[in-house]
Parts: sequence; structure tokens; C-alpha cells
Amino acid sequence: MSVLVWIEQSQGQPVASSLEVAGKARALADELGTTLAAVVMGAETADVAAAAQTYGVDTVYAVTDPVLAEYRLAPYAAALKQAITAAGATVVLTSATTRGREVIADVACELDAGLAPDAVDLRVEGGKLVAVRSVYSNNILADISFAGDVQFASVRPRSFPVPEAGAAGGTVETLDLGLSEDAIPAKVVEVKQSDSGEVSLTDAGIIVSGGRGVAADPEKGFQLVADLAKTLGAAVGASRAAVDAGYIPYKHQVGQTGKTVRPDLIAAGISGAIQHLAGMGGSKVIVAINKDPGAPIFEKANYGIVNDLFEVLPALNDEFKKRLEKNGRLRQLNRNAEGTVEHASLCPFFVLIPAPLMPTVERPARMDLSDFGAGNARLVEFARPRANGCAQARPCLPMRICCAN
Amino acid sequence: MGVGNASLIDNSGVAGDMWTTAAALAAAVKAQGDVDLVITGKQSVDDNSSAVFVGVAKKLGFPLLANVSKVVDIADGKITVERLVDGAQETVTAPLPAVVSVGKEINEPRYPSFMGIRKANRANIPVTPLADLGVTVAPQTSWTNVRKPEERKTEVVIIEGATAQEQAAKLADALLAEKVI
Repeated sequence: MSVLVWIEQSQGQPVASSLEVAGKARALADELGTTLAAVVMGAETADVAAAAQTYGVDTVYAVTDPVLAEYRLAPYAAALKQAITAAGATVVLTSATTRGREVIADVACELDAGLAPDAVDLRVEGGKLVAVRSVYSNNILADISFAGDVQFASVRPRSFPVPEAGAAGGTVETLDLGLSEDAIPAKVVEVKQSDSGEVSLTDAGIIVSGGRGVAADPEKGFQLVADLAKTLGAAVGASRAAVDAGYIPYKHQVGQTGKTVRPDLIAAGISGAIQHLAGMGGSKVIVAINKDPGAPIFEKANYGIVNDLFEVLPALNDEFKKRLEKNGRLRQLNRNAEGTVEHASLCPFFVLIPAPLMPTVERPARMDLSDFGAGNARLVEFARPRANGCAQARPCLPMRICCAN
Repeated sequence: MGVGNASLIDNSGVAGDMWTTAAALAAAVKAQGDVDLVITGKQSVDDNSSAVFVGVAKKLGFPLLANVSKVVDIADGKITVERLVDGAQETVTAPLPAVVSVGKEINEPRYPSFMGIRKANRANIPVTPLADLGVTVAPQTSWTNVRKPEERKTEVVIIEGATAQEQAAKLADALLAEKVI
């Protein structure tokens, strides 16, 4: 018996939302009086396994195989299944990323076991897992309990805080996948990073979102939304109305059948139709900008500005730039040039500092970064330049991301 | 809309779970005989599980290509698609028969034609009770305490100001003070 978590990796580093799950899983394992196991998979797993060890995992199972170089359902599901057996897992958890949802469903179905997809909360009751799901466009919550001994759940990103990394502990065991390339039906022909330079909606700490209010000039409207998002290190969102009108691609849609978000949100020119509100139910602070003082979104918002977004957005961008620059906290967020910043969205403020200039510290030590205008900071993650991301304009140094909170 | 024929699985009165649904759909696909491609949606708006199509592929033993945004090519017993996965766009190929789940980007549905609507009204859609498909019903999960989430209670602070710049300045101060930004 144990609790098993798949810690996904992206460019050699753990994906933030899987660490959220690992943090919660540690608490569940303690409550169940059992151990916490993690599985890491890929063509290379040393870095992610080492990172996993700092989050209270008792045993990390590393499945390292060339067939895992690109994500494909069959070998990833086989690896998860192997880890379940090795760990004797009774509770199996993944983050509800596209991959996490697919892999866990495949294995749960194969084992004919119960699955709670996209759970928003987990707890232990009578020695078993109970998962809370948010369904019917977040209008209904339900407790899911499991009939069998092995219980599966994928967890909606940002349902739990990312745990603090501690000293490395536990052990790493390697598992041999033993799957030949010939046995895998799907072949990956090409992978394009589609959101390089953008913060992804599901991981974002802040979203700046646009709606039908941009209709007068959609292109300019969403440019203003994107400008403000860039200043704040935020993701760009959109209401369904804006997506349906073709102002912006579907991947930006927040709400019903789009993405459900839980961050703080600035909504510009969004009336607040039910499905968009459904997508932002978990948000802590909502700011509404709308010309119409009667727009329903004001009923859900914490702050409102009744004015034209075409005037307010650039003004907000100016004001934030002024203040953040003054505080030395302007986010230097150029993901393209500076590598992955998965963890950066967890920081209220952060700075990217080239590694050679960094004081040598062990995580999660705090350090004085006043030379960099960041004051006292905490090193959260290492970032590496993407192979294709070394722009000529910037030196291609390994970067350190520091939380300056 | 152009569908040649349809069949309806009647699961009324059956307390199953997502794997029951997947098994029923897989059995219905098998009953069609030689199927090359199974196309499903991305998730239902009500249950939002995104798991049924994974189960259908598993139970059929077909490869699954999920979140497909574009079918690039179908040739030589293979399908090539573009799919959207966590911030990346992949081009993937798999042998047929296969299951693909598609999102909103896949197509703009055409309008039903007048003749099509008339034809559809006369169409005979056979109904198969779930029991006839040989699906065992053994739900692995149960739902309890189904409830409305707590209402979000907020008191909106409307930021006043003579100009947008003034409003923006006040809002920026408020959000920084709240440590949102």
C-alpha cells in the first residue's frame, strides 16, 4: 500500500502542477499511515528524479527509456502501470494536464478501477480516498468515493499550493520499461512549442482576459490585453464570446468547455456571461473593466472600473510599469530567450538571474539579491535556455529564477 | 448534417460509471463491423471527465490520438493528425483503426440543409438496450453529497476617477497593496 504520484517533467524540470499534487499526496499518505511514491518518466529522468526527492517523496521510481523521449499514451501508460505494481499503490494521482488526464484514464480503465478526473479536492475517509469534483460547468460539486482498493484521481491545477522544497530524501529506484519502439503504434512526427513566450492559462497566477468589449477593434483590444499581461507576467485569456467571434484562438478561452482557472484575474470588456464566470469561480481577486455599469461581472468582481477598456488597459499598463520598475520588480519574462519558468508563476515577484552571477546556495535558502534589485529572495527553480530559445540578442546562460517575495 | 445512419444505446435505469459508458460505446462500435476511425468529442459539458474516449480506445484496443485539432492525412492505413498538448502542438501518426478525440478547432459545422432535415425526420434509428451489448455494469465510483458550491460573496469596489489614467493608478495601488501583483 502506498500513494503514488506521477511527477511530469518539462525540459528536465518538474511541472509545477504535479508538485502541487505531490504536496497534497504527502499529507494523504501521512493520514493513511503509508508511504509516498513518485514516478518520473522520460528519455532522461535524473534531474526530475532529483527534484522529486526534495518534496517529501519516500521512493522515486524512475522509468528511463528512449521510447519515452516524446510523450505518447501507450508507453507512458505502461510506465505508470509498472510503477503502480512496483509501489503497490492504492492511491494513484496525476495532475489534470492533458497528458495526466489521458494517462491515468488509460491505466484506470485497464485495471477497471474507479477514477475521479479533474478533482478539485482530496481527503481521506475511513481509510479510503474521497475526491471532490466540480461538474456541470462548476455549478455542482460532488464527492466521489471508490468501490475498489485502487483509487485513481487527476487533480485540477492550482487546487493545492506548491509545497516548499526541502532537503533531498528517500531513494530512487529504476524500473525497466522493456518496451520496444515497434510495439508502440503512435509515432511523433513533429513537436512545435505553440505557446513559447506566453504563460499558459492553466498554470498562470494572473490572467488578463478580454471579451466582446474589444469589438470596436479586436486586434488592438487583444494587443492591449497582451501588453498588460506581459507587464504582469500573466496569461492571456478570452471569453467564449470573443473566441466565437474569431477575435482570438480557442486555446485562450476561459470557462465552459474552455479552461477552468483559479488565479487572480483582470477581465476587460467581458460582460460576465454565466460560462465565463463558471470558469473563474476559484479566482481570488477579480477586476472588471466594462463600460456598462450594469454588466453582471461587477457582481462577481472585487474591483471594478466603469470605463472604456481601450483607455483603461494602456493606462493600467503604464501605471503598473511605473510601480514595478520603481520597486525593482519588473518581471523580466522572456520565456523564449531564457528557458522554462514553470515555477515562476508561483512567485509574487521574481527575477531571472544568469547563473554565473548567482550566490551559491542550496534550495530553499533565502539570499540577499539587492544587487539585482530584488531584495531578499528565495531560489525556486533552475531554468535552462531552450535549445531553440537562445536568441542572438541575449546570451544563452543558464538562468536562476528567484522568488522575491 | 450528412450522417448515414445512427444507433441509440438505451442506458436508462442503469447505474454505471464512465467505464460502463466506454464499454457500451466500444461494443456498439464493434457491432458496426469494420470500423477504421472512431471520432469523439473532447469532454461532456456536464460530467467533464474527458475519460470516456480513453476507455473506448482501451476497450477496442485501438490507438488513441486525443485533443486533435486537425487531420492532416489519411493514407496507407495510417492517420496523421495535429494535436494540442499542454502548450505544444504535435504532429502524430498512428495506424488505423484508431480513436481520435477532437476539440472545437477541428471544424466549423455546416448548416443542416432543408432536405437533410426532412430525411432525418424520417430516419429509422434503432434502439439497443445496454443489456443487449453484453456490458457488465459494476460501477467503480459513486457520487455522494452532490451540492451547489458556495456562492462567491464579493462587494465590488468601483474605482472612481476623472480619467482612465487616474482610475488605473488607483487600481494599480490597490492590487499592489493586496499583494495580488
